[in-house]
Amino acid sequence: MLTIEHLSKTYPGGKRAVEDLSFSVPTGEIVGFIGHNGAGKSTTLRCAAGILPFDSGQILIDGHDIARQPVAAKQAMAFLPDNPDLYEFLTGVKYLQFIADLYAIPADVRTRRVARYADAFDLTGALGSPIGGYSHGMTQKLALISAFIRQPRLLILDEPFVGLDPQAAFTLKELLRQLCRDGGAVLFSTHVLEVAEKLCGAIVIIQNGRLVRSGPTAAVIGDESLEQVFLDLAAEGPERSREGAQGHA
Amino acid sequence: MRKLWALIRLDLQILLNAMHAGSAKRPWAAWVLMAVPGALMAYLGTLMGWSLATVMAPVGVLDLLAPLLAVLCAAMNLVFTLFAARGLVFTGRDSDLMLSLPVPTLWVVLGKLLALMLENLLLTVLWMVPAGVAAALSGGGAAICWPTYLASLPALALLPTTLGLAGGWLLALASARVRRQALVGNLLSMALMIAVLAASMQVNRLAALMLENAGSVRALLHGWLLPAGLFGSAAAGSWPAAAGFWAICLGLFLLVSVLVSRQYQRILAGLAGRNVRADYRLSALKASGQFRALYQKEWARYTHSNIWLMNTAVGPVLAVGGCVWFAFSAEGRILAAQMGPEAAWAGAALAGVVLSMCCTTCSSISLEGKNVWILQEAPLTARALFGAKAALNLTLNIPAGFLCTGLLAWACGLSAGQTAAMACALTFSALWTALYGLAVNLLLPKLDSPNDTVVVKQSAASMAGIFGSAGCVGAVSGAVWLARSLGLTACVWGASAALCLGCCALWRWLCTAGMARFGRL
Repeated sequence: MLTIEHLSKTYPGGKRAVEDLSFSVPTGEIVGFIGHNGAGKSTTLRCAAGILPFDSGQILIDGHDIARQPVAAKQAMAFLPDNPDLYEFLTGVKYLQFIADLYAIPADVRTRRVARYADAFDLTGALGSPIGGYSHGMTQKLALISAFIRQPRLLILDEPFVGLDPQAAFTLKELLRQLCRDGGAVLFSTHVLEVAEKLCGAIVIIQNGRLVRSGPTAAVIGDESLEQVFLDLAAEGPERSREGAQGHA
Repeated sequence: MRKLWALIRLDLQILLNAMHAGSAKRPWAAWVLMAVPGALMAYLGTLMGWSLATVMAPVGVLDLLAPLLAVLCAAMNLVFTLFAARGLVFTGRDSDLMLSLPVPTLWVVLGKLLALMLENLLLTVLWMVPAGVAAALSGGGAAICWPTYLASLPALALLPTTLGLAGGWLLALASARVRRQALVGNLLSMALMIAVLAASMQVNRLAALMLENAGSVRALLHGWLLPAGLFGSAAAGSWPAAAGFWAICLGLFLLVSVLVSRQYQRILAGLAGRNVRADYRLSALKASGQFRALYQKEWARYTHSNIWLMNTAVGPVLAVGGCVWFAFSAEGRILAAQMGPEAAWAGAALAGVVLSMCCTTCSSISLEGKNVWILQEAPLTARALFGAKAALNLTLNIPAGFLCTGLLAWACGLSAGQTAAMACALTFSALWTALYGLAVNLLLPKLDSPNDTVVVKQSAASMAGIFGSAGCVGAVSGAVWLARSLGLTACVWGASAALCLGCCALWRWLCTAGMARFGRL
């Protein structure tokens, strides 16, 4: 569903955010994307979403090249950045209407989906109020609803659990699993390693813009916890970054 | 005082940063674009000083010159400061951070006000110094003693800052107490704008009125217009009057600042207060296309952004108002009778230039701000994305253009062919303005502004968009005028064709390089 090949991105000023990164997200899989602060996770996700241009490499979404066929690729996916900023001057329902129009969702279908996901996240009653009055958690929920109503084949989420109450976090996990059972795929970044351990079928760990470990969750973790694996990798530092580029667990 | 100075520097940085083109490669762009309104102020000040002194000197009322210049300068600054104060002082996105700092709230408010005052001072100097020079050269030298005149200018800059803060506070308070804040804010601002425009129409009668009522005006200058009277005396060389002027201006400034700072947290809380209901019931939703969705979103943002609406609505209001005056006033009818159809073409050229200053697109992309990711990740075509933004601009300018055409054609008895040519030219100039604004905003984006005011009033794109599009339309109008011996109607059709070609080239650029630029924002 998502294939990233030899992705490299350097910001103006020389900061190399991502270097020769390659991994894939197969259909039906939830893949956790882990890394320290500034490792290049958000950069990678934004490149995959077609928001950030990259220097070299290729990103394919459902067979469409994000650089050459952006409209087709974006039609198949939904992306949420961390701490998403939404249009504060719109009400919740008007924002969902706006998104539904951009993705050409028929009227009856969108009504059904909005009702389903707004109810799932317990946000229906607040949909008539301006987004400017929402709390951070409510905004996060609305952003998630706007992603799910599109029924994307690929869902890319940057730290989606931040700001969600426990009920909403549980709901999100269930919806992600359902999306994968229905033939979709999910790539999300998180710092909550316990969630990644329980939810993800595969893990990708990057460090200083390079891939250091990837594979099925059980294989990546081994006999330890994901937290211990992460800390061990962090302690090994840049050396590991270079070795990891050559071979993964 | 170090903390206060740090806050002033920060707020100045916010104001100046708005002018930055967003690229370290073009640091000169901000200074170049600040020179444009500066030059405009200097030109207007020179014109005012010269014309008023020429009228007043022969009849011995030069003592009224400096107060009149001061009142005009303060009034002009007040119009800018009212909205800037509301944006910088009451709706900045750094409010949470500022109020959490270990500094008195008064320091926070003063930091913002003094930054605003410095901007006012620059405009005051650019108006009053050329005005004083022009007045001195045209016979008004006796009214200006330069040391006291210049020493009083900083105090003069405090007045519009104080009044702008008070006005901005009242606007913010009134808006915060009602549910439909955006609508109330827009209505109040519209009323203020109409009042200012109506008053400014009377400026040309001021000199005559002052000559007829010199005694009453002098009495006023010792009464409720005392600050203006003191400025006049200071300008004539009185240091005690200068000290008195400073005392009044500074005293008022500090008094209002203290009063506002005491209510500051409550005001900000009222404006930012969450008002989320929990009783919404979802009903059947309707579907529309991408273009319509984007257009409706633009309209929602436009009507919600008080500053964006007010800053751009002036163009159509002025253009239509001017044409109404021309069509129905006695002076307009005399002009039409004397000049014939040429009056209509001149009126159309002027209307076109004024309408081209209504350029919503030059801020449209910058105003996306942190929301830009929503459009970047959506499967949008250039036609839908840019077309919707341009459509908002056209919705304002094209109906106004048609109204102006109808009024001018009726007033001057133009033929159907002439009317069609005029309508076509104004339509293509509106299209040019919309597309040009988009191009400028893509080249000079400003996505990290703390509030709408900074983007709409002070960003490089808004300056380049407004003055640039007016300049282009003015240049085309000038070319038509110079070539009028070939037949005005034919020249106007030619101008329409040129504008049409320009629009095609711009649209092609937007759909290719422009779309790529948008993706890189």
